[in-house]
Amino acid sequence: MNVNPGPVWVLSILRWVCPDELHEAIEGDLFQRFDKDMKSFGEKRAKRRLLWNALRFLRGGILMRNTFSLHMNQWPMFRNYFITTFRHMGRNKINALSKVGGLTLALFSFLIISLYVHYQLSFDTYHEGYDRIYRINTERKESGRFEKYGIAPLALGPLMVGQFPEIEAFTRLDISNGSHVRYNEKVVSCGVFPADSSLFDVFSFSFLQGNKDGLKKPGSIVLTRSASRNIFGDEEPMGKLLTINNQEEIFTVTAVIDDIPRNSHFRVDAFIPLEREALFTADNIVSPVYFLDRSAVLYVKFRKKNSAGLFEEKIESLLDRHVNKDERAKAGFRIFLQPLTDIYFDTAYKYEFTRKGSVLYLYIFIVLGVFLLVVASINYINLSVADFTGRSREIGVRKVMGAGRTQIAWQVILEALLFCAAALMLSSLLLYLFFPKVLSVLEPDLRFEMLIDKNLLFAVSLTLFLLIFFSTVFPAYWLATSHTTQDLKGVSGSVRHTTLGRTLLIAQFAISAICISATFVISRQLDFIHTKDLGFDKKNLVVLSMPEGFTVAKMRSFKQQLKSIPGVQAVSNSSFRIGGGYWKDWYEIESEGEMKPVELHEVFSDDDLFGTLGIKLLEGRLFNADYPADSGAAFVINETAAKVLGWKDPVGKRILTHPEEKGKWEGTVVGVVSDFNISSLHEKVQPLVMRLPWQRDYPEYFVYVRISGDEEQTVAAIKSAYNEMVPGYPIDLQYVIDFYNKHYERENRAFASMQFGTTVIILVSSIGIFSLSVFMSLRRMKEFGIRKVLGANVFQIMALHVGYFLRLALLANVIALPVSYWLMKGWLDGFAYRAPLNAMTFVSVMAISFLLVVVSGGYSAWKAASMNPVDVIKLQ
Amino acid sequence: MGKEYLGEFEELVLTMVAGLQEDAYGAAIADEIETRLKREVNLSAVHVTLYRLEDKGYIKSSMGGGTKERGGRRKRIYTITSAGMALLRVMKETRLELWKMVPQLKITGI
Repeated sequence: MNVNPGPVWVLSILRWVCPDELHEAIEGDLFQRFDKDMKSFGEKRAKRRLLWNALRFLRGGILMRNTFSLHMNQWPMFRNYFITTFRHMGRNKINALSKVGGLTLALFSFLIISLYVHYQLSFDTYHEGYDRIYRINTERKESGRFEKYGIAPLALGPLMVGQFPEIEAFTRLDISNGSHVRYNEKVVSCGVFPADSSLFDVFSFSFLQGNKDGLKKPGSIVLTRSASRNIFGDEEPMGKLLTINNQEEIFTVTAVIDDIPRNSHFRVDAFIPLEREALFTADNIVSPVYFLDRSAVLYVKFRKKNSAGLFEEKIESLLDRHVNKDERAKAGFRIFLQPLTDIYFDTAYKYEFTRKGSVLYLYIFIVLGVFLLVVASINYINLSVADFTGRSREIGVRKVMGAGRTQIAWQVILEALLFCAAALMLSSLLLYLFFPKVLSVLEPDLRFEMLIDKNLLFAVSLTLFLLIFFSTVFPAYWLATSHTTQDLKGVSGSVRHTTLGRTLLIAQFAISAICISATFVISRQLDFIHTKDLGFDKKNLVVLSMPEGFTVAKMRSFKQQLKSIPGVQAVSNSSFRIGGGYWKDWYEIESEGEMKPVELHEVFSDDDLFGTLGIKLLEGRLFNADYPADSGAAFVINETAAKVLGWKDPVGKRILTHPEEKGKWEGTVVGVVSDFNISSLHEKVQPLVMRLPWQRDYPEYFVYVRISGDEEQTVAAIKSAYNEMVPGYPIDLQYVIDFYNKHYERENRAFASMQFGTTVIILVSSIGIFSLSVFMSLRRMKEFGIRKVLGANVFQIMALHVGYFLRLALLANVIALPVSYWLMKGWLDGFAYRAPLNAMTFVSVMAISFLLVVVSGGYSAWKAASMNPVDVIKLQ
Repeated sequence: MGKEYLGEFEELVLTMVAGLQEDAYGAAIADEIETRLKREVNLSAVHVTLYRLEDKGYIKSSMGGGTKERGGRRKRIYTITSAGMALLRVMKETRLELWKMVPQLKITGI
C-alpha cells in the first residue's frame, strides 16, 4: 500500500467501533481492497470506495460484538459512591438540604406548569382525525370594517358536501340555544344546541346509551351524562319526554353521550336536530340581520389531511355559481378555514361559539417553567461545585488510587441522579397533597391523572434529563480534569470555577429580578382594576335577566313588587347587561349646523337607571317620567360621546335616529353623564347615547336591583318574587361585582401563578445564596481571621462578604430591569386603562433583591465575622 | 441435519472457506465471490457472516501474516471445522436428493 488511504477519521471511528480482536483483520482487509481498487479504478474512486466499505462496517453485527465488561467493572464502585454520598450528606446537612429543597420546589412547580401547558395544548385533540376537522369562518364588511365571524351561512354546508368529494362529513351547530328543559314539573337549566345529525360523524363523542342515529328523527334530543343525571336522577332517561324553554314542542330522549370532555372548545349539555335551512343568496350574506339569522357554526371533516389549502380556492368557484363576484365584493364576503385545534387559542371572532384560551399566558407559563428549572439547575451547579471543592481531598485520593476521568464523572452524575430522584419523589408527593389548592388557583379542570400521559411523561423525563445533564456536565468536567496534587492539598477551586459560578449567580439574580418586577407590575395593574372608579357603583348590585315574552305590563308590576321588598333601594330595567355589551345603531347628529350620520352605541332604559347604578350627571338633566315627550325626544349621552362627536356644549344639540319614521325619534340632547365602564378595562369606554324604551310591547330585559342590608334575605325575596311572576323559569340572577371580576379571571389566575412561581424562584435562589455564602465564608475564614487581626471590625468583614453577592446582584439588576421593563410594557399595552409603569417599581425590585441577598447571606457573614481569629489562623 | 440451518450467503461463505483453505480470509473471500460468481459483495457482509459462522462452530480462526498491500495488518485466516465440513456435505446431499425429484426432460413454458 503506497498511497495514503484517505480520511483518517473513518478509520478512527472504525477502531473505536470494532472489537479489539477483530479490528486489525478488518482494517487489513479494507486496505487490501483499497490497494486492489487503486489498480482497477484509480485513486479517487478507490478512496471513495474505501470510505463506503469502512462505513458499512458500522452495523449491528459488528457493534454488538463489543463486550461491555469494561463498563460493568464500575458497578462495585457505585456502592462506594452511594456510601460516600450519604456519609457526606450527613456531614454537610445544609448543603444537602439546600440541594434537595431547591430541586424539589423547582420540580414541583415545573410539574404543575407542564400539567397546565399540556392541558391547554390538548384542546380538541381527543376527536378521531382531529387534524382533518376545520371550522368554516366568514369575513364580512360591517360599517366599513372587515369583521371575522365564527359562523357561516346555513346553506353552505349541504352545498359543499354535494360538490366536494374530499369532504367526509360536515355538521352545523346553531348558536341560538335553549337554556332550560322541563321534565314533568321539574325545570333544570341545560344548554341545548341544535345540530345536524352528522355531528357524531365529525366529532367523536362516546355513547352511553343509544347510537349515532340519535339526532336523525325530528323531535329527538341527545343528552350528556350529567344533563341526564340532573334531569332524571337515577331514572332511565331513554324515551322520556322533555320540553325546552317552555315551548310547545316535545322532545324524546334518544341517546345519552358521555360528558363533553373538558378540553373542548365548546360546552354543550344537550343536542337537538337542526331543522332550519336557508338558501344561499346574496341577501343572506349582505344584510347583517339575515346573515346573523341564517348562519350557524359549520365544521367540516376532510377525508385526507392537508386538504384545506386548495379547498379555499375551490369554495370561491362554488360561491361564484350562487352569488356573483360583485355582490360578494360589495359585502366584502370571504370564506376561510380554521383548523379545529386553533380555535381555542386564535383571536376571538364575532359570534364565535367557543371558550378562549390565551397564548400569551401559555407562553408566560412556559417561560416561568423554564426559568424555574434554570434557577434550580444553577443552584445545583453552584452548590455541588462548592460541595465537591470542599471534598477535593476525597477526589484526589480517588484519583491517586486509580480512578479514571470517567469514574469521577460518574460519581458526580450519580450524585445528581440521586438528588433528582429524591426531589422528584418529594415533589410528586407535594403535588399530590397540594393538588386541590392548585386546582382552585390555576385551572379547575386539571386532574391528577393527567400526569399519566405518554407525551407529558416524555416531556418531563426529557427535561429532567436535560436538568441533570446541565447540572452535572460542568462539575463533572472540572473535577475529572483538575490536578491531582492540588486536589490532595485541598486548594482546588481555582479561578475558573468562580468565574462560571459568578456568571451563573448573575443569571440567577437576573431571573429573580425579572420575575419580581413582573409580579409587581401585574399586582399593581390588578389593584388598579379593582379600585378604579368605573363610573357606577358595582357593589350591592344584582342583575336579573328576564325571560323572552315578558310583557311591559308584567315588568311594571314586577318592578313594583321588587320595590316593596325591604332590602331593595332601587330597581331599574335596561337594554344592556354589565359585562355584556351595547346595541349599536346609526344616528344623525347636529355638527356645525348640519346633520351628519354617525354610528353610536345605544342604551334603552327607564328613567331610574342613573339613580340605580349611581351614574353621575355632569350637565343638563336626566329623563323625566313626568314629561311624556321624553320617550321619543330626550337623549342622554356620555362624556366620551360628547368628545367623539366634537360637541363643546352638548346640551340642546339636535339628534335623531330612524329618519324613516318621520321624526318619531328626533329630539335634543338633554344631559351628559359621566363615563361608566361595563366591560373589562381591556377596552375603552364607547361613545354612548341613552334614551327611554322605544318599543312599547316588550320591556328591556335586564333588571338592575340595588340592595342593602341583609344581602341573602333580600336576594331570597327577589327570587321568590320572580318565581311568582314567571313560574317555571329558572332565575338568572347575578351579582354585578362577580360579573365584573370574571373578566379578570385570567389575569387573576396568571397573577396567582406568577406570584407562586416567583416565590419559588426567590426561595430557591435564597437557599442557594445562603448555602453558597456559608461555603464561601468557610473558605475565606483564614483571610477574615487575618483581616481581623489587622484591625478590621465585624461590620467591615460582613460588608466584605455580603458585598461580593451584592455586586453580582447589582450587575444582574442592571441587565434584567430593562428587559423586564420592555416585557411589562408589552403586557400593559393590552389594557386600555392601565396603572403607569414608574421608576419606583424598579427601584423597589432592586431593593428587594438586595434585601434578599443581605438576609440570606447575612447569617454566614455574621458568623464568619464574629469568630475568634485565633481559632481560624492556627487551624491547619 | 436437525435444526441446523444456513442461509444462502452463509453457505456460500462456508464453501469458500473450505475451498480457499490456507488463503481463506475476509478480503480474499470477497474477491473470490466477485470473480467466480460475478456478484457484488460487501466486505462488511462477508466479515459479519464469518463471525457468525465462527460463533456457530463451523469455522475457526487464527491470525496469519501481514502483507505490504495490507499496510502491514495481519490476516485472520479461517479454517473449516469438521462440523462445518459435515454440514456442507449434508447440505449438498439433500440438494442432490431434491434435484432428483425434478423430472429432467420436462419442457416448461409452453
